[in-house]
Amino acid sequence: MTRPKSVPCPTRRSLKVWNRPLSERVPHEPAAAAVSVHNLSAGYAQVPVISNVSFELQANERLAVVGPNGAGKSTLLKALVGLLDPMSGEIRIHGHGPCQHICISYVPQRNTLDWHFPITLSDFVMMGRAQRIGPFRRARSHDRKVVHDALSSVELGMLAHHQIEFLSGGQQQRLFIARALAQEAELILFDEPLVGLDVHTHHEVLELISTLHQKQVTVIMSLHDLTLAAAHFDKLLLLKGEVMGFGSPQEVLVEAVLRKAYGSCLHVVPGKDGAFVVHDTACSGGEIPNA
Amino acid sequence: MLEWLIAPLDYAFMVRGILAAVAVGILCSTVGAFVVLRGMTFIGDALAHAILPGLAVGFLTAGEGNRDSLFWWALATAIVTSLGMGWISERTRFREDAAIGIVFAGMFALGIALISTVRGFSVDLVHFLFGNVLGVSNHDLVLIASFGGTVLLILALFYKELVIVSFDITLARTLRIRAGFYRYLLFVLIAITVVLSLQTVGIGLMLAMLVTPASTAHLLTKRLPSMLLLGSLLGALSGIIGLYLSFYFGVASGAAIVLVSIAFFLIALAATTVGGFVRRTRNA
Repeated sequence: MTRPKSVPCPTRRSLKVWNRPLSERVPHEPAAAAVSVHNLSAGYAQVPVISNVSFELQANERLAVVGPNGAGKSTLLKALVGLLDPMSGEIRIHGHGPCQHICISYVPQRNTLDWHFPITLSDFVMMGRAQRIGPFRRARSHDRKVVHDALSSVELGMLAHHQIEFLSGGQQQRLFIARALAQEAELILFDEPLVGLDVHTHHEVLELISTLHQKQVTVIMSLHDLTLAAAHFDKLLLLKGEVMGFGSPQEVLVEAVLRKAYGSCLHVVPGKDGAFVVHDTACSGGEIPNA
Repeated sequence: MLEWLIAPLDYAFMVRGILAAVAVGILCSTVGAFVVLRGMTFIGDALAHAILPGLAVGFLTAGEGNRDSLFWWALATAIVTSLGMGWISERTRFREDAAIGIVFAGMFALGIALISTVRGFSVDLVHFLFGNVLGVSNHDLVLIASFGGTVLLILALFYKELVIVSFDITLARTLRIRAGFYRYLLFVLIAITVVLSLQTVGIGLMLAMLVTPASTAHLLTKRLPSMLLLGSLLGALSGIIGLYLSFYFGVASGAAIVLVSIAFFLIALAATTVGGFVRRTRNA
């Protein structure tokens, strides 16, 4: 599907009380990074889960947020999308606060939704356009075309009028991506999208996410598999309450950094074509298998 | 057969009763669809019971003959209670069901306490407790039509946003849709529906009218618009058939309407279960 090169994020001024039409729009700060996080602390009930997190991401880059369980990956994503208020520090998306945007799409973990809800795939994707349609209005032919194109681009066009409850895990992830595309999102955040999917579907979903790169979409994804993260993402952010490492896979996937986050059980072995293979020696009896 | 159908219509109270039952059936099933899909069943039941003190105060201040007063007191109590439930569950660390339970029990107890101070027996109050659709006046019909029409209009105007808030609260918040506003709006719409339906099925059976036709439609359809339309049809049919049963067999009208809607549900459940079994057998 085609999408405008630069869709400015509307400000909250145009979203008063119950979402007025998005007629007023403020363009992105041209010199600003797509995502800029400075000394961010966030958590729940006044207890910080992440502290002093700082990093910058340029438009169209792909960032994998990795780290052990409880490291604060989901907390960071929720703060970035505006679902969680920072305790301190600052988040700027294209130069504005996250709540001033509707061009951010957040893909939650699949089990947070009721997949028996009586809607079709087309209805699901159309939800992403709610703000662009505006209140008291119905979808126009342009909106229907955007939804059709979005579903086709993730190869779900044939199922557009089927009910969502019959989708497999991989299809559900593709549906989320279609909704983000229909939303004309410029930044998509995925919260552990690979959980519960088989290995084949991991690659299918990651390949699809790679195509977002061609559509000028910035992607941030939390995941556990360091090898997949190194293979599919431009940058890694290794978290354990605070930033343990940030940069290219080569910069982050070094044993000294991994030891700080995971303890001593992880070892990095160079794979084919410069790829990284990270082995958990605790799981293989302490021996590092041949790459 | 035709005579059997037409005979009750010779009575003005039956015509008014059927109109009220149809209107309430459509209203309850439409609002009930959101109640069912959002898992708010407990709220519907709680709101129906929590308006008892409003009815009691209305009765104490205006006396038995003033039905208008009862309606307005019930409406005010329902709206205040619904907003209170929302506020407590949002602003405290209680789970929503616990907050609702506390408000529900407290208000119902207050209602019983107030009623116990009334000397003698109040027919009007009993009608609100158990429903008496055959006692609906022209003025009641106007209230049901105007307030019910307003509820349906609001649902139509905010349909898109209400569906998103009901299905995916996270999406609603990332799209900067005011989820809190729509949550309170739905509470108030349920409250109005409950009050309008009181005279048809009463406090005790209110939950069944909110939940049963919508659940039956949910079993039979896979799309929300179809669920709303089918639910409305089933709600209206339950009202009509229930009233005829009430007329010919001397059954309490509210109970008859609810029993018919439950019968529809059981038939739909049996049909979908058998249908699913046959499909699985064919595919095996």
